[in-house]
Order: sequence, then C-alpha cells, then structure tokens
Amino acid sequence: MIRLFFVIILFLIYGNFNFVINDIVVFSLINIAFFTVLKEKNIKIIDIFIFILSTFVVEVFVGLPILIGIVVLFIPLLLLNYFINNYNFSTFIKSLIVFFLSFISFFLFDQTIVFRLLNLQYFLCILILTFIFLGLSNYGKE
Amino acid sequence: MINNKKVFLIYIISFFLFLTLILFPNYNSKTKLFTFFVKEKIETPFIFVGKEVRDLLMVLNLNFDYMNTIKKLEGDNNYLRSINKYLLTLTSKYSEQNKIFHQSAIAIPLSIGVQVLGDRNLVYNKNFIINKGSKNGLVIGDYVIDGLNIVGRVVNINLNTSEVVTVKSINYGDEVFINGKSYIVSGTNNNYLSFLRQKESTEVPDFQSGDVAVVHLDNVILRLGIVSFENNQPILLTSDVTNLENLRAVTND
Repeated sequence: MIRLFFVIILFLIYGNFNFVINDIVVFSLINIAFFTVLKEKNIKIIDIFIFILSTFVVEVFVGLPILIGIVVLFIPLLLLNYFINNYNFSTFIKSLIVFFLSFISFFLFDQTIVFRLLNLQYFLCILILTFIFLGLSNYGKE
Repeated sequence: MINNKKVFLIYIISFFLFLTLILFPNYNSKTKLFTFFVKEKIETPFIFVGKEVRDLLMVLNLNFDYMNTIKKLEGDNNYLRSINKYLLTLTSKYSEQNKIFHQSAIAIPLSIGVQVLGDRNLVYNKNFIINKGSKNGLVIGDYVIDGLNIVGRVVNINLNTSEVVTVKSINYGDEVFINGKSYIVSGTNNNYLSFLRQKESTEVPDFQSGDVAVVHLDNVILRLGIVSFENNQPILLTSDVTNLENLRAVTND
C-alpha cells in the first residue's frame, strides 16, 4: 500500500519541479519496480500489479512502448529473484543489487546522468548519505 | 520460485496487450495522452492549493517589505512609462512604414496558449505533451510556436491532450523557404536540422550562412532557423529552446 501511494505521488510530482526532481522521480519508480519483484521469493498478485503500474508510469514519462517493462524484464528479474533469495543475501546486499540494477536501467534512458553525477551537489549528497548510514549502523546504539 | 499461477496468467495477458499496442501504435499514443490527461486532472487541485498556500504565506510574511517595494516600484514605473511612450512612438512609425512597404499590417497567427505537461527539459526524448487537443481545435500537423519561432508540430492528438515533436527531434521534417526557394529539412536530435534536398530540383543549394529559413502559412511567416555551415555542409541552426513556458499552437494553417 505504501508503494502504491508512492507511485501515485511520484506520478503527480513528475514535471512540476525542475529536471533534477524529474530524474529522481523516474529513478524512484524504477527502484520501486525492481524492489517489488526482488524483495521475496514468493511474488504476490499485488506485487505484480505494483510492478506493472510503476513500469507503466516510467514508460509513459520516458516515451517507451507501453508494457515493454513487464514483457522484457519480468522473466530475467524472476531468475535474479531466484538467485538472490536462495543465497539468502543480507538486506544491505539486496538493496545494493536493486540500486545498481535501477541505476543501469536509468543510465540506458539518459546517458548524461554519469556526467551529472560528477556534479558536486549530487556527489556530496551521495557521500553525506553514505556516511550517515555507515555512522548510524556502527555507532547508532552508543 | 513462484507458486502462484495467476502471476504467469497476468504476464501472458500483459504480453498480448503489449503485442497489440506495438502492432497498433495509435492505441499506444492514445494511452499515453490519456494518462497525461488524467495526471493533469488529478494534480490540478494540488497545484491550486499549493499556489494558495504560497500566496497566503507571502501575504503574511512580506506585507511590510511590500510597502517599501511599492514606493520603489512607483519610481521605476514612472521611468518605464516614459520609456514605453518613446517605444510606442517608434513602433507606430515602424507599423506605418511596414504598411507602406507591404500594403498590410504585420500578420499575427491565430493561435491558442498551451501548457506543457510532464518533462519540459526534453531529457529522455525530444517530444512533449501539451494540454490542448482536438476539443480546442488542434489538428495533426499544427505548429507550436514561441513568439514567431517554431518549437515543434503536433504529431498525435487526443480530445484534451496532444503530443508535439520538437524541431530538435530526429522525427521532425518540414518544408522551408530560404531566399524564396523551397527545401526539405529534417531533425537530427541536435540543435540543428539537416538539409535533405531542394524541393523538385536537383540544383546545388546556393544559400549563405545567416540566411533565415521560414515556413509560410496562409498569411503568416514563421521562423524555423538560420543557415550555417558545419564541415562545409549546410545546416539549419534552431533557436536553443529551453523555456517551454509561453508556447502557443497555431490553429489557422
């Protein structure tokens, strides 16, 4: 339900702010789609529904043929799901896999993202968030 | 791996739906345009509330500052009025001269204001969606302009939304006039268009750098770009459109 809510919010946000927010919206939608399929072994109907909805929204925004996401990506993602969940990776590794998969997909839509990532603002944000995460996970209980 | 047969059933249905949409691209574009129409309708109240809240906060916070600003603006206003009078005098002279030379006033195209829905920065593709459709009198092929500069043309149309292919897109093509001769140009996904050939002729084009390429509608002339040369090949430089805020769609062609 939270994912559905987020998809709707992102659907409404797109185009109403600057292009950086648009990038983040598309990236978040791709993240939601991948997370939905990879999060656990048994995929439910609601997960498929959210996957179709989020890929549909991305396809509409980016200008891809509609439903190409589920047709092309679903079976490879199922295989990856089998691989990830049978090896019982930690949540951290799973998150990293989802993140990098999303990043590669996003890179296919917009190659200039790499140059923009080298922009200092993006780079600082990523660094700060990474260090906050590491700091809290190591010293958060003290 | 997956215990649920329904998942595969949904996949199969999606697959055939996808095939249908690929085989009938019209349905594909109609779905896209309808989605943007729904998006616009849903976000309208949020945008309205957002504007109201912003206005309210501004009123609460800036009342005192406004008093000072108003005094300053009054001075500026008087100065601008005097400039305006001077410019009006110049414009009237220009209009009179234009009438003498061209026997008519400057033609302005009949157009309607349009608003871009979704991405305004042409990051993912070189098309964009506008909030006007066949209900507002638009038809496929209508020009979308910024001032008198062509920004793009309508390629897909729905009742309330339309898709516009911009002059930067590789899918853009048009017939332009340079020094009275007609040429066919095509988009390149860059800031220029390439010349395909001179229409109904095999002659080598004889235009020069700086010539203006225009499109003739009934009684209006729209500007597409300026001729330039790259590696001795003629190209048509378009204006670097980054602001898609004040666009209009020409409806009288």
